[in-house]
Amino acid sequence: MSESIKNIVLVSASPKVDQDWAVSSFLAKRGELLLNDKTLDFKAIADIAIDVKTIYVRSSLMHHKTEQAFDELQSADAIVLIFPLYFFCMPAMLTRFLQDFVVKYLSATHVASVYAIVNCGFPEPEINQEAMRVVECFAQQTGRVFLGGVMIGGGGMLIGAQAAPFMRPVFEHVDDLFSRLKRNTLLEQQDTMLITQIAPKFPKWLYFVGGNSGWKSMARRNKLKIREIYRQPYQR
Amino acid sequence: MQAYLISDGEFSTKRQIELKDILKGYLAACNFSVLEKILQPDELAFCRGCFDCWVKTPGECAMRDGIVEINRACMTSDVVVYLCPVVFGQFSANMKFAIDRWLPNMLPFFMTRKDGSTMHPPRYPDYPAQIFLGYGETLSESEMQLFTDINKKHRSSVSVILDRGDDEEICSALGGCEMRRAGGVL
Repeated sequence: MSESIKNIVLVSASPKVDQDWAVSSFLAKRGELLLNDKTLDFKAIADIAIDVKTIYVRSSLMHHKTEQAFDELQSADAIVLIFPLYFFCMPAMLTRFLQDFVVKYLSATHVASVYAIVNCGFPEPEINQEAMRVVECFAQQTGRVFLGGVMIGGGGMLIGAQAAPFMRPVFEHVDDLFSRLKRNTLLEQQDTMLITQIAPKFPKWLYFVGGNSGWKSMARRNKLKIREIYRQPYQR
Repeated sequence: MQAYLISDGEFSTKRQIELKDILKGYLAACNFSVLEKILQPDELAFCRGCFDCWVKTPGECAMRDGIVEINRACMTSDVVVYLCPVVFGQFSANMKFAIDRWLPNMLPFFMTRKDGSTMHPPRYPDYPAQIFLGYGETLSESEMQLFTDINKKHRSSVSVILDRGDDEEICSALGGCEMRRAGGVL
C-alpha cells in the first residue's frame, strides 16, 4: 500500500531576538516532539504519514526567506499559528508575514485547516479572544477551515516555571490541541471548532508582585534608578 | 491644536485619498493644524518584545528608527487619527508596526481596572484622543466588529469609525469623536 503524506506546518511567531526565551518557539518545539511521537499514532491508519515543519517567522523575515516559507505554508494540510498577543491582536511581524503570504497565494488550493495558540503576559487568557478571531478571519479569507486552539494567560512565567505543578494544566491544554490536530490530520476527519483557555493555577496578586518587582530588578541591572523608570521624554 | 494623521502608503487607494481629504477638511474646520505621516513598508522595525523601552531607555524605544519621531508626534498632539486599512479584521502590517511600538508610552507594571481586567499604567498624565478609521474594499460585518472590539474592548479614550463608503456618515461619526487629550487610565 502506498503511503500518503500530510503536511503540518507550525508557524512560530515570537518577535523576540532570543528565541530560547520565546514562548511561541518553546511551544512549537513541544508540538514538533508530540506530533513526531510514533507512540501517539492512531492504529487505524496505515497509509497516511505526517510531515511536520516549523517556520520561524522572525528568522524567515530577517533572512529574506519568506518565499520558501510561503510555499511550505501553501502546501500545508494543517497550519498552527503560535504567537504572543501584541496590542490585543497579532504582532506586527506575523501580520506582515501573513499579509505578504496572501499576496503570493490568495487562497488554499486544497482542503486545509488552521489552529492557533495565543499567549499573553496578562493573567487573563480571555484577552486573547480577538486575536483568535483574527486567525479565524485569516482562515476564512484564504479558504481554510478554522478549528480553534488554545488561549493562554500568564505567559510570562511559562518557560521559567515550566516544571512547576501549577503550570501542568497549561501544558495539558497545549498537548490536547496537538493531539486533536494529529488525530484530525491522520484520520482526515471533520472536526468542529474548539477554543479552550487556560492560565497557570497561580494567584493573580502574586503574579503582579513578581512581575512588578521583576521590572524594577531589570531596570537596576541596567543601572537605572527606580524613579527613572517613570521618565516622560515626550513633553508638549 | 495639533492633529497627527497616520496612514499606510502600501494601501494608497482612491478611497484612502478621499478619506484623507475628508479628515483633513474636518480637522481644519475644527482649527487643528494637521501633521501627516505616511507609513511605508520597511520604514519601521517590528517590536521585538525586548522591553528595553521600560527598563533600559524608559519611555523611548531602544531601536532609534522613525518611531522616535512618530511617538513624539503622537504624544505631543491633541488627537491622533489612524487611517487604517483593515486586514483580517485587524490593522494592516505597516500600521501594526507603529502601533506595537507605542509600548514605551506606557509603564511596565501591572494594575487592575475597575472591571477586574489587567492593564499597564499610563506613563503620562494625559494622552491624545485616538481615532481609528478603518477602511477596506470588501469588509464584512464580522471584520468591522472585530476591528471595533480590538480597539475599544480593552482601552478607553479610543474612537472607532468604519468606512462604508458614505462620506456624510464619516463626517457625522467624526462629530461624535472625542478630540481632546484625556487623562486617567488607558
